[in-house]
Amino acid sequence: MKGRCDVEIIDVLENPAAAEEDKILATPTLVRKLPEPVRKIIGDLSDLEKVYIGLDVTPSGSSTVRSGQ
Amino acid sequence: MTTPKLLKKLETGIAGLDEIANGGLPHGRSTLIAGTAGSGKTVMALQFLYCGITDYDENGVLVTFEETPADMMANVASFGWNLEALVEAGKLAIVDAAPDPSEDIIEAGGHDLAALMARIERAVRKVGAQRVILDAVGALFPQFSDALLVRRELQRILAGLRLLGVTTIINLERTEDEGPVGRFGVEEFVADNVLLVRNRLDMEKRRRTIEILKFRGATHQKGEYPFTIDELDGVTVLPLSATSLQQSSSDLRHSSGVPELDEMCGGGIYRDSIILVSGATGTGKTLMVTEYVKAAITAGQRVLLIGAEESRDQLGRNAKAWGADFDKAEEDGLLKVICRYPEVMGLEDHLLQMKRDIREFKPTRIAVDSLSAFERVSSVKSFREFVIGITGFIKEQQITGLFTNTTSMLIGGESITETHISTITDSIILLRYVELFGEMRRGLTVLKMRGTWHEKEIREYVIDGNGMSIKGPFKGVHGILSGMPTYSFTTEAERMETMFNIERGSS
Repeated sequence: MKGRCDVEIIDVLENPAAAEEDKILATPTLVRKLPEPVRKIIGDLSDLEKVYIGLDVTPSGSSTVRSGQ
Repeated sequence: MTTPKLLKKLETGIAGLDEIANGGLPHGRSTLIAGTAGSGKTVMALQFLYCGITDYDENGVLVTFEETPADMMANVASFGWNLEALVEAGKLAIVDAAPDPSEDIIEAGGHDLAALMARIERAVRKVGAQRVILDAVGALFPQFSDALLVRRELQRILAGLRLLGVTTIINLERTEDEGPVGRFGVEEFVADNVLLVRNRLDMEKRRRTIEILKFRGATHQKGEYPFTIDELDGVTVLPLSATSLQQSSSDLRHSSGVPELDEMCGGGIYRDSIILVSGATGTGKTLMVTEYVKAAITAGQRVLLIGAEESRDQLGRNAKAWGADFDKAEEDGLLKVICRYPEVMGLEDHLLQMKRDIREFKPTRIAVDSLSAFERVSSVKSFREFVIGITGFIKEQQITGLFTNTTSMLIGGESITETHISTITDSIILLRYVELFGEMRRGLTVLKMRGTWHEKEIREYVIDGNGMSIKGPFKGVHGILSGMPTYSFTTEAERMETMFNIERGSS
């Protein structure tokens, strides 16, 4: 995944306007904007299985996914 | 020693609600409005927000969990509320927390709703809001798998709003009009102030009511009060039982239109009194109304006639036969005739509409023909409330009111209207058929007239081409009102003789 995606990290408590824009309710939330449809993965991503499903990726090695964040 | 500080109230601006809430919602706290689907809680909350901005210069924040902001704005546009303009003017901020069906949400680990709180807080600070509504929080629960978490987070949001010093309304749906306050246990942590709105089916008509279940640390009126929602005013609560008897009264008298009746009443009817004319069909109630209207027009007074049984044309034609020109009086601006069948809407709406008509036309007198027609469309309870509401309002405005009541029985008898409003009216005039010697005659009596002497006799009256004329009292007959007259003529024996022509006088 490295180099194949852009990840922007926003602190909603400091920038609530951005949270408003993306209609974020929960923290933390990982938003997959592309490819469409938009997916929101909420929570601390401890449930890796769900993260893979949410991002629609198949893990080749767990370390790659972590570096993607 | 200092006196304890009373909890401050915030006027909502919703007509009638502040009266039953003894001044408004508890200031700086959150109030839960719980109701079934279609009970009117969203309109009520939005009106709280809208009135705050337009009437009290208090900005607001709308947090929507259920409908999209665009839908909500479109829904209340029919009330003439332009929320979009308020947003543009920086007086209203919207936090859209409604689920977006095109988005997938996947839960992957622990989380909280700090982002939502941050968004609400930002909105409050952005417009300097003093009023916040959350509509409707129940929709938040299905979005997350952990209801406990949502409850805890909502509680935190409310605590945060309290710190911000805003007054909050939280809407919550109920599945039934009775039973538990709400779903998801929300009421457990916002139980300080609870309003219940209901939308019951009553005699095939919807009847909306609002009840203040509790205000912690503050007073309020108890029980259910009817309210209506219409395009002109949005929500109007009718605080009927809260109507206080504080009307002033006067010694001024008006003519009833029938000179003999004025005499029987000791010189006419009091200006701010309510008169009930009660009688069976065909006894001349509408004629009495016509005479009353005619007397007002002759005296140059404005008079409002509300017809519930006949059409405007019918009333006009009949009046013409008695020598009253309704068309001309309407042209002159002295008369306004409004004909509305009771069936067209609920009694609460009738009451609201009548009040509007009175405010608009500002009459000196009003006549309702007949009040008992409204009985048809309602339960006894809402009819009673309606009568109290309308009579209270008329008295407050110092208007003379004449109501008619149709009794179901030809002779004697009484009706719901009579039993329910006899204590409210100042005067009662009974029109009765009297069966005398195989003939139907008509009798009239002033049953009650507050604050003045009045004649107590039952007098005969006749209706002819000139209208109503009252003759002498029925002498020697009693039991007219019970419908079973008995004759006690001293000349009874003589009468018998003439009737049967038998020679008994010599015996």
